[in-house]
Amino acid sequence: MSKTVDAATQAAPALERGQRRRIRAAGFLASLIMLALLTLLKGNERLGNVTFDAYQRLHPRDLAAMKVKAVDIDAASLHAIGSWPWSRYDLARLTELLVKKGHVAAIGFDMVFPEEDRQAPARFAERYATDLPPATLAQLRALPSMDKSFADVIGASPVVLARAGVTARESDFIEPIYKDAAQLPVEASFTAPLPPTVEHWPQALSSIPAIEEVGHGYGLVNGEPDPDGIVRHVPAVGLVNGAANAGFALELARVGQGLDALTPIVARDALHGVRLGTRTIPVRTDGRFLLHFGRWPAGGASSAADVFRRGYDLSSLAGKIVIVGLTSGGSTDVVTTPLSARDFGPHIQAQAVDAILRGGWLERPAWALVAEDAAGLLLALVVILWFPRLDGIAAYAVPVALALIVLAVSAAAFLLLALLLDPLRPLLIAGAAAAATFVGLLAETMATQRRLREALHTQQLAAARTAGEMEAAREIQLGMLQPRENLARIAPGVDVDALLEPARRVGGDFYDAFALDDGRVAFLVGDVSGKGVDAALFMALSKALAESAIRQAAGDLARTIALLVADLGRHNAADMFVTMLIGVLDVTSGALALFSAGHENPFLLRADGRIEELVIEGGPPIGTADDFPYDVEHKTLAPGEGLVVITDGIVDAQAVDGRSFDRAGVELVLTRLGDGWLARGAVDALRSAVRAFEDGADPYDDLTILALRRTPA
Amino acid sequence: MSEGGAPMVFQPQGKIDETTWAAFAEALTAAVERAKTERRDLRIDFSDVPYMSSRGLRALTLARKGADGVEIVLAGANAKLREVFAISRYDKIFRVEDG
Repeated sequence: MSKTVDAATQAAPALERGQRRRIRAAGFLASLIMLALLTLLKGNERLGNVTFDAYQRLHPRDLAAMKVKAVDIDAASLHAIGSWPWSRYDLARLTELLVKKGHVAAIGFDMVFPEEDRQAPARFAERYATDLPPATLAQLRALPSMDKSFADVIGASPVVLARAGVTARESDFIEPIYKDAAQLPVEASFTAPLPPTVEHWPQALSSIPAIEEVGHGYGLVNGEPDPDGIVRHVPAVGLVNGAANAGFALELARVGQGLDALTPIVARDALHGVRLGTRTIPVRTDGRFLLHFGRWPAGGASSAADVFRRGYDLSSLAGKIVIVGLTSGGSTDVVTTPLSARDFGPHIQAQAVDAILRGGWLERPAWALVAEDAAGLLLALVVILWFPRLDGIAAYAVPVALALIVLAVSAAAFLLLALLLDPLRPLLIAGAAAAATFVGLLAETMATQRRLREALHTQQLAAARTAGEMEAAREIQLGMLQPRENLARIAPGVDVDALLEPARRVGGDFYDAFALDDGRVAFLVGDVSGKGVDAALFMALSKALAESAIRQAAGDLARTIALLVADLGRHNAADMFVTMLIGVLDVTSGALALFSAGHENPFLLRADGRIEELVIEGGPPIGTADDFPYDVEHKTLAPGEGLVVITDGIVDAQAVDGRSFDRAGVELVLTRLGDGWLARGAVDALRSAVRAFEDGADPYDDLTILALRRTPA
Repeated sequence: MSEGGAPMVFQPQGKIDETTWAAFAEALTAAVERAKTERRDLRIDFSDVPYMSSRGLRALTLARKGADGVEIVLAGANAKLREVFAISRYDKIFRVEDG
């Protein structure tokens, strides 16, 4: 029982194979469910962005050495030149200043000019047609259009113009300048057709033909954000009405480096990259490339107002690619990036161009998802296989270490290879397995503990029942016995005493002594095999039947035996047996009839103090051999002589060192009694000697002594 | 019942007391059953039993009751065991042999 108690109080009982298998199945199922969930909910992109954005915030691209400058048409510029839109004349001057004085490598206008100059002299003439004299009107109409001036400047400068792909829906309310998109000029020479995976638009919003036709390059400025409103990529290439177009940044990089060719890298009908000169920019299959954003540097932009200012030093622009864009308060081209809640579109384009020139893109490899799922399942497998087996800190250290490795691989891929590998997806898959395993482990452990507790409870109940049974057995046993005081008075001429001390676990001894009608004295000592209530009841039955048989046979022991064997045989369903010694003493003559059924021989105490074993032929215990022919033996007890009858509880009594008391021990005690011994004195002396011999050890068996002495003459 | 075959030998090991008698009784009953099946007598060799309490006697009693004609011989008992057999008078219902 103590073993069970230990197990129940332990924190984690050992799990059985079945339990471990159940836990593992739960863990594996949970990881598959998580994998399915992530796949179905397309959670990967958004999930990955959490990490990728964080990486960029922790490690933004260094823009200090940017090869691109922004020329901002900011509030100061509007204050200096006038409200937007500016006259094409001003834009022409700006372009001229940037090229002639700034010596820039290329200019990109991050804006579209879809209408003619609002301040064209002809327009002015229209507005004032009735107010001005016809001659003045004619002069005005004769003045050249500012669009023409602008176009002339553009034609002589490395300028890239913006165009925006429009969807079929948008084209319902945006009137494209070029009704036939096939007429849109393209300057970049694509060395191969773009595959159909690339984003495509049926139409594009462009500048008026006068301007559009003189550009050195044309780039798509479709900077649509992700569904969460954050811009993470810009187009590298796109299809407009089936024609390959470069993205604005890529086109500007091309013109700025004086290159012609753009080489799409296509594998299995999907776009994977675009090569410009010696650099290959990895792009998504839709033609966009991911930017590694940096914090916009101080001095990254010049105000257009400064460019116009006479004597202003433009040397910082020399050799740079510049992007002219609107950043004044009213600008609608304000976007959110992983790094900044409010950033200007032209500055994003500037970063994109710089990324192409210096390498600042990010790549989400085609194999990333498969790798993440594989890592997740592998990790889940490790967790599933190890977790239920490990104890203590290792159970947590191993999965945590593996998780850290996943994070480290992802971070290293970002820092060293600019590769985007999502650590959260594998961690979620393995985490689901870990959570399910943990919950399963907890549930199974609790179930085991509950089972152990229940088993303990059952055992405690059984123990209590056993204890109660023992108590009942003891009460039955002791209740059957005559008190010692009665024994001393049963007949004149004889001194009788007896004692029974039940052991804690075994109860089956009994004694009795009584006077028969003719004055003879009958006595008996018995020992029932077995323990508990059964033994106690059989003892009660044996004692009652013995007394009844003796009385019925009127002291004739031969008849008594026959009756007893028959009666006990009839009532002995439990296959028990009982040893018994019965004696009938004629107090006046000293005639002693004895009968022993497998019982210890009594001690005969001679009047002169000698101790002898009173050898009785006897037979086996009653209940072992019903057909045994028992004999009655006849002895004589002289006056002053006595008998001490015991059970094996005395001879088998053990000392702590394992020695047993033995008949020799009994003889020794009885020898010391002296001449005037009393039955009670003999009983007490023997009892004390046995208990002293045991020295406090729990006795295995009942202790029973019956002493009888014929009164000395 | 013995049909000429040598008696089956059952040899218990160790002392037979409060803690071991149940196992002894079980093994003994099985031995008796086997002896019955093989129609042989059963010789219980007590050479390796240093001590036997009255619990062992109960086992012998049960064996004898289930013997059904198989003669059970108690053999090889030491002095202590012989004393037990003598006190209980089992030497009167079992054949006790030296060897």
